[in-house]
Amino acid sequence: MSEHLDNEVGDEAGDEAESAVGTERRSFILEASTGLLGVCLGVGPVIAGLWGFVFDPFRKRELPSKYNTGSGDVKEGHYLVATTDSLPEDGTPQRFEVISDKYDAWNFIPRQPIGSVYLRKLPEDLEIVLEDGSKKVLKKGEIDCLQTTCPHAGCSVSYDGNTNALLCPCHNSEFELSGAKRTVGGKDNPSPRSLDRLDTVIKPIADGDNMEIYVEFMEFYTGIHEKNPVS
Amino acid sequence: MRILRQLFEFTDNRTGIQELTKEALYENIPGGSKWRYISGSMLVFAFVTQMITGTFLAMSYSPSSTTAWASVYYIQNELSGGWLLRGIHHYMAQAMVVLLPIHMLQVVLEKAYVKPREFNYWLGLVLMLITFGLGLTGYLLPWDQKGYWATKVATNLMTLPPGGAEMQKMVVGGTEYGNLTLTRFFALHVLVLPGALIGFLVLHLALFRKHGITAHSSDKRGDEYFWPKQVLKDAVGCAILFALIFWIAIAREGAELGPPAEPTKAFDAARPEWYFLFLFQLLKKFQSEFVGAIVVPGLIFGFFFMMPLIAKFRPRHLFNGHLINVSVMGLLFLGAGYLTFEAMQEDNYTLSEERLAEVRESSDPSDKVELEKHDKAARFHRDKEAAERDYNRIAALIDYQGIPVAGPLELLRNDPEIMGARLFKAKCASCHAYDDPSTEGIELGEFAGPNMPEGWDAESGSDFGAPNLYGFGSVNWIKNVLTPEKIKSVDNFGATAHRAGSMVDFVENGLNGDFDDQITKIAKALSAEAGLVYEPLTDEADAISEGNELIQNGDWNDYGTACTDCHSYKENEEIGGGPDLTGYASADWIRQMISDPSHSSMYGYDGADNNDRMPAFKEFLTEKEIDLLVQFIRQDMKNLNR
Repeated sequence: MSEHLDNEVGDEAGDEAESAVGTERRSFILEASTGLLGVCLGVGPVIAGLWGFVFDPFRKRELPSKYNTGSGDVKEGHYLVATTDSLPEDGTPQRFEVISDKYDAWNFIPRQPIGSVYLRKLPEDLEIVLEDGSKKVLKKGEIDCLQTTCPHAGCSVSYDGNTNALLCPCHNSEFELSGAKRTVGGKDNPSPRSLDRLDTVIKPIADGDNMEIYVEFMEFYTGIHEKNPVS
Repeated sequence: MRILRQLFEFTDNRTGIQELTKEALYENIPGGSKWRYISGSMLVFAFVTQMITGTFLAMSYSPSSTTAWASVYYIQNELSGGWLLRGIHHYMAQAMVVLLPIHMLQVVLEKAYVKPREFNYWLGLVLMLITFGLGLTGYLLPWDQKGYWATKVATNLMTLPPGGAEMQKMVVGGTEYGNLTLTRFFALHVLVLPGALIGFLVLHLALFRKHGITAHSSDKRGDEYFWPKQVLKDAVGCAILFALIFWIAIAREGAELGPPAEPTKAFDAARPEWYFLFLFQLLKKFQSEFVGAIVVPGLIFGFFFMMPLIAKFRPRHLFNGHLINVSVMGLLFLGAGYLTFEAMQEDNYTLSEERLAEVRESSDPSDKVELEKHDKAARFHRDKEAAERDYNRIAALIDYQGIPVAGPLELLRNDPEIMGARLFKAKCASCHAYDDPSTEGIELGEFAGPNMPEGWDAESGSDFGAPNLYGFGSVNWIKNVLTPEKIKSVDNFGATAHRAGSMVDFVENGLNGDFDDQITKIAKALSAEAGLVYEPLTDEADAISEGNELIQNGDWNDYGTACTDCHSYKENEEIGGGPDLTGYASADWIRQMISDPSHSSMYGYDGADNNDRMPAFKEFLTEKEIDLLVQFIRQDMKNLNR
């Protein structure tokens, strides 16, 4: 068996009839295929590993069947965050955690905070600019919702009562309560855009004026002018 | 092109890479390239594959007692291609252990272990020990039942030699297996041992290059360089090896994973990886563990170590040290092979039915040994199958609710199908049967009910058992109790003291006749009280209300009594001595029955106690355990996809 294969590989020593050119070509083919096979061998296990390493982060996972029933929320992707009763009339923003079920690799963790938002009841009409550039007026008493993630580099902003602003602790971005960028000490604000506004849906509770506030929670890529959702 | 050449010259001038490559590739092979020289390269290739796949596995593995199994389950079942990665790593490890003795055998047969290559041979032995260490430490990392118990045995054997107990504590990270055991084994498996292996491998290869290949003068062919022909042969060998491992990994869908390690549940199917089976079997041959696990393997290894020195012994031409080495080594390899075979055979030792009946009766000591071996193999298979069922059930639970942060054992400990069944087996099955026709997912084997004495029938009867609780509270179960031909069967009251009671009397006489329709309605009404998830009775409102009416005002043959003459039911309270039928077979009802069957709402009416012999389990079980039993009997969690 081994001798036979030996000959197949090419044993030039006993091959006198072979011309010098032929020997050289055969030697090249031999060396090239050896090199190629060697490279392939190294690549095999690497590919098996890279498959999971590269592609797995892009995979969407189905929720466990117990939690895959639709949470009873009003709209897909909307989370119940608070009730209107919990917001003061004067428009002071309140911070709420968004609770959802989430995977953390091998663990599934029901009812975990996945982020937070600022909610406020508008004390007066507020004109906002939508993504397409058009303007829209939010009426007094409506609920406005802002992401707490600073669009500059992803730190979490917090409400400061003294300056009546939302401040970022990292690189001094400042935002109006409406989310609009503030000029900081005469200089431009480091944030490329205003705080990201999130869609809300209000749903009445059976009795009284109290209503449930549902927020379409999502994260956006930071550091760019456009508001691109992370998916 | 010129820029490439310049770049090459720039690099070569500063690194001497050309010279190095030449040195590596243009090693002279006296007598030319040969297929039999490939085993060493294949081992190196296998090790490199292990390093690559291991690195990627480490990116998804988490060594702690709550996450190890969960992360391996994730790699095996969730991670894209993770199963393949695991499969290659698992089977390539075994390929290494197969190639090692082949390589060693070649070295000895070709006399490559004698002067001047002794040190390289010894380095090879060290490499072999490190590889075994890698196999041992890797076996524990998935933290499944098999790995856990097998490794536990291995580390317990460590304590036998003097100072071993301290050594074991260091390896395990204390006296108990846990987080530290995993972090230590992980560090050993991915840092210490591979690092040591690389170090010794470099020395091994350096000495190999120093001495050159061991060629024999009988080779008439001319010399060749290592490159390209020997490299090609090596590469072809490695390619075949990889293809084979790849194929096995695909065919086996990755590597095996058992149910998560349960430190409180003994596991009779614990076995070391197959290549350690000979050691496992060797241990059984000796009275003393110290001799079987330490002395004998130590002597064998000592012999391997001494082989180059023994080879110096050359008194006569025919009988010399080398021959001793070859023959002893051959015997040792054969012995290891035989022990492996024997260990596998013992796990499959089964006696035929007739022979089994024979040895059970026999008092002959050799028959006793046979029976013992049979029972041992049976326990091995029982636990192996139970482990498979547990794994499948846990996989179903994971699909249903994911793995909690507290770990997979949390799923298992709260599952009525696993824990409830175990509790039933331990606490209830000595009297109650549980004849589930579909045993899938539940550890049932051992409680198929009390063993009926020979010649037993419902008429002669005797009270040694209790009703079959499979399907308790379902329409069919209740109908059987109310059917004259069935109430005295062993599945109902036949084996209890109640066989002579007034309920049996009522059913046999009062319900004797064409009452099938009414009995069905009563059964539906009572089963509606149970509210079983697997039998919702949603469209049966009419039958249920008629049944309710019959329970309270039924008129049966000459008896003229309703169920409520003896049983409380809804508004008809405290009428007689039978158990309260309100909420019959509901979770609360069963909980009460298990906790205290002599309670006034059960068999203890007005100071009397009609309870047969059922103990009040609130004395022996926690509330949680009783709940698990209740859910198990009601099959609340049996089907998770409802």
